[in-house]
Amino acid sequence: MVRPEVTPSEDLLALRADDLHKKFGAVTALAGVSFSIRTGEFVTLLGPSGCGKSTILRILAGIETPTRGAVAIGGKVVNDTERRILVPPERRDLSMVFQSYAVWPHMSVAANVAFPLRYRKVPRRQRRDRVTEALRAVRMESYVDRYPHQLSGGQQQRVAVARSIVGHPALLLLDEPLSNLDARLREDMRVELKRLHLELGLTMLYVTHDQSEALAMSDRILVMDHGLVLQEGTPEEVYRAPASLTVARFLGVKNIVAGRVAGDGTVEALGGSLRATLAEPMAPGAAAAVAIRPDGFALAADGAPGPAISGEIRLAQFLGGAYEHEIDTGGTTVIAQSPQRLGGRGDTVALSIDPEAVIAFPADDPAP
Amino acid sequence: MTDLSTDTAEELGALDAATSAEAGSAPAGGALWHTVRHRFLSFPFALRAVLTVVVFTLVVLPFYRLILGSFQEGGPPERGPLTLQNYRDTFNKSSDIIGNTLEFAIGQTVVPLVIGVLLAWVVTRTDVPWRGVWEFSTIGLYFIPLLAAGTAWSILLGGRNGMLNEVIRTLTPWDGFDVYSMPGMIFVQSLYLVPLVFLVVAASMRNVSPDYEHAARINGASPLSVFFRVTLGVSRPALLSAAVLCFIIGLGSMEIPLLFGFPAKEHVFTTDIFHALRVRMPREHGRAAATGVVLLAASLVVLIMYLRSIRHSDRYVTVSGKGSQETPTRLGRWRWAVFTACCGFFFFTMILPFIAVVVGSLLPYIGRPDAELLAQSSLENYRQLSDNPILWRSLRNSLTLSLGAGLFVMVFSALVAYSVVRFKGRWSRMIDYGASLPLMVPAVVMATSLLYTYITLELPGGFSIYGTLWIMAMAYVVYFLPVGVRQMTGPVVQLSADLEHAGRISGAGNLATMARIVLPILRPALLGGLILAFITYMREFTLSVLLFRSGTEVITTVMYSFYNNGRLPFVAAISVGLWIAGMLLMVILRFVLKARITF
Repeated sequence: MVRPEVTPSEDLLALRADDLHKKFGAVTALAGVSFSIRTGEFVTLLGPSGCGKSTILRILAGIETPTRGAVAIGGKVVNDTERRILVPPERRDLSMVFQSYAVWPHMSVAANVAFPLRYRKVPRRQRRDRVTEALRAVRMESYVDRYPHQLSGGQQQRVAVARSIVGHPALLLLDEPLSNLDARLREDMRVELKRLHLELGLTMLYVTHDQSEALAMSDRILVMDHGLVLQEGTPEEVYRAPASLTVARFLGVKNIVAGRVAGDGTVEALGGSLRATLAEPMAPGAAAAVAIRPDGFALAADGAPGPAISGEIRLAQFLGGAYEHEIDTGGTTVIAQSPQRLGGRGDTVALSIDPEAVIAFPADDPAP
Repeated sequence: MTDLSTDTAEELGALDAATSAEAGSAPAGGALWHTVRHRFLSFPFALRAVLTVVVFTLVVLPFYRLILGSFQEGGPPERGPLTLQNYRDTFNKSSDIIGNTLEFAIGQTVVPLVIGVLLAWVVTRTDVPWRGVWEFSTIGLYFIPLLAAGTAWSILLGGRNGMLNEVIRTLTPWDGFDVYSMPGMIFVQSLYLVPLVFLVVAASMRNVSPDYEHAARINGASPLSVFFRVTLGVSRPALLSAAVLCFIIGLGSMEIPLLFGFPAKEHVFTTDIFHALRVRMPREHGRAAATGVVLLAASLVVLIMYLRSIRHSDRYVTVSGKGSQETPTRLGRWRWAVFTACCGFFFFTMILPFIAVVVGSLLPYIGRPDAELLAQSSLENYRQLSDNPILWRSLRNSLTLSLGAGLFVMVFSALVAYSVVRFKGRWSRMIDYGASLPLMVPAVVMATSLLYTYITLELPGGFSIYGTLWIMAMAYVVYFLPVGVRQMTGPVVQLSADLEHAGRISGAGNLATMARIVLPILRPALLGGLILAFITYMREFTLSVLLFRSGTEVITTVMYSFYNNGRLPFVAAISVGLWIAGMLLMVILRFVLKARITF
């Protein structure tokens, strides 16, 4: 396979990954993944455990070697299996934030953050300013002389982030950085990371299995499963128009029900006729798997658009920002979320479903 | 996410060499050069190659030479024709040597096993008062050089002149107990093997959840049968490995057989090897080698028996107690009896012997401790010793060797543990086996094999390592290597690979990551191991007495030559110094470094 040489027009590409394959013995972790990241972009790899997203990160960092494929960072080829090019991690212009933080326990906060500067040939006199600058960015400047064991998990994570931005890397990799934090801190840190991205103009590649993180932070999301990219697009695109049932399921669509294509833009499901988006052309009468986002439901009486279906409320829970209902629609249970309470346990209600929230896939898609 | 990678670090290292042609030009020499750089210049390869060479030089080669030499006529430097004569000599020498060796080795296995297990049980499973004190003082016994302890008992119970024997004869119709006898040898050796058994067994017992014992009690077992069937039963693998350790030490250690066995004419194989190599003229290298091989075979037999009996040791995987501070066995009215027994043990192993060496060091000679003799006590012995240049030289040698070999063995052990944990694979396992091999080899055989291998080796420039501190340092390193690797394996396992990856990504190369991240994080463990190695080397006698020459004396060999010349008060004075130094190190290790001591 002939790969095009890097051309000046690609100058804006912070990263290009070409046809990455990885096998661990007989297990295929990556089955050919290609993508690129523009300078200043925030891209997320979203997928379940074992989908290969962390393997990609480790290949980009140089901690892992691909079985086949090529990687260029900032226009410089750092890995190409065909041309036998392999640049070790220490000579790739990137940094990484680990899930385990990986803050060195024997060094003070200042020493941890200053470490990359030593190898980036930053003059000794400037190092302290750079360290202070990085620590200020993560609001940890008053902890310079502490040691990691004196810090909380969230604070250690901030030190890890400071260490990763201090060298102004061309690319910042983040491997599920928030997954070890508790819920409150996770939200705060998510906002902080996004703020850093915008303020410092960093190029970030973020790995997570949490769709809400991915949706909130990314310029672009790559949804992965089984070592392949299933869909690529903006958060709105992948959320509103998932390319497959797997993507839909992974983006938090809890309702996937059996149905049948009725005609143009309608499906028979939940004992009624629903207006829907067809993921691909399907003949009338074809069996379909219908994905319905929980936020698409409303009481028909409110004059919401779309034809109505009826069901009996089994369970209503107040979640704070919204109510979540479990509704039995003639044998099929669906989850409906709405800002208002739709009714109490045992009530039979008529519901309308927003056509935007209903997507029909061919039923031979992998079963739920 | 769960990562599928198994050999990440191996790959990481494999990358390093293959960094050519970043600009994209094909490397000169093509695929071959690529293979060479990728495979043979990589960090995991280089590190393991170095470890392999060292392990081969220190462990494998010497044993090969020893076994070969045992079948050759004469000894190095000539290499005679093959023969079985050495073995005939070994067995014809005297048949009671075999019996004595076995009697001693078995005796000094059984006695400390019984005492050690009881102490471990008392400390970990009962509510006896002052458990911390008993634990501390039992482990403390390891920090007393066996030679010093032997000196103490020689002063107390050494034949008719033993002070305690004099007292016993005066006060009772009984004649006292002569420590210059087989029971005496076993008695003294046993007292100072107790800490070893204790450490191994207590570590295992501590991990047993009290629930096991409670369950047995609830199901109707008496406290006694709970002890035998549950507590001991669950700790069986630990018990067996402690027994094997003791037995192999018994086959190979020299100090007590030389101190007490010689006067009593109770010869064992170790003293026989000492004679063949250091006393008799001409030297009987061949016979020493054959004797060594016989000892090696004996420990191999024991080892195989051990391995067979722990085949199903995964049965003994225990659920550890959930930090329950509750003591499983309430001793009730026995509590104070057990307490008294512990006090007694402490008194007989620590206090009484220490008093003996202190008193002995102040006297002009050892005898009936009456007013007349005690009136002559003075610091004269210390004064004379401080003028003795050989003593100072030996002290300098001991410190140099203990520190140098200790530093080397700990860093080397860390690297072995690192390559086993990080690189996995068959090669790393072979290095681990090689480094662990000396654990199963009696010390006397180790020294003999090194002597045998390097007596003729001449490095360029006519430099021979035989008779220098170097060969002793090699022996010291081999001796502690298995313990060192075990000390470092746990800390290395706990070291997350992410810490290294973060270093690499930050721009540090392999060696810089090792030097600035891996070794510094391991520093507390390295320091704890270093102190343990240091104390092990300071008390070491068996290897030293076979390998030293004039000029490379160490403190223990000087003590032995004073002992041999009948200058027991001198030996006592040196013992006092070592005793105090050992206790200080113990306190530092335990309370300053807060290190856990394990074998």
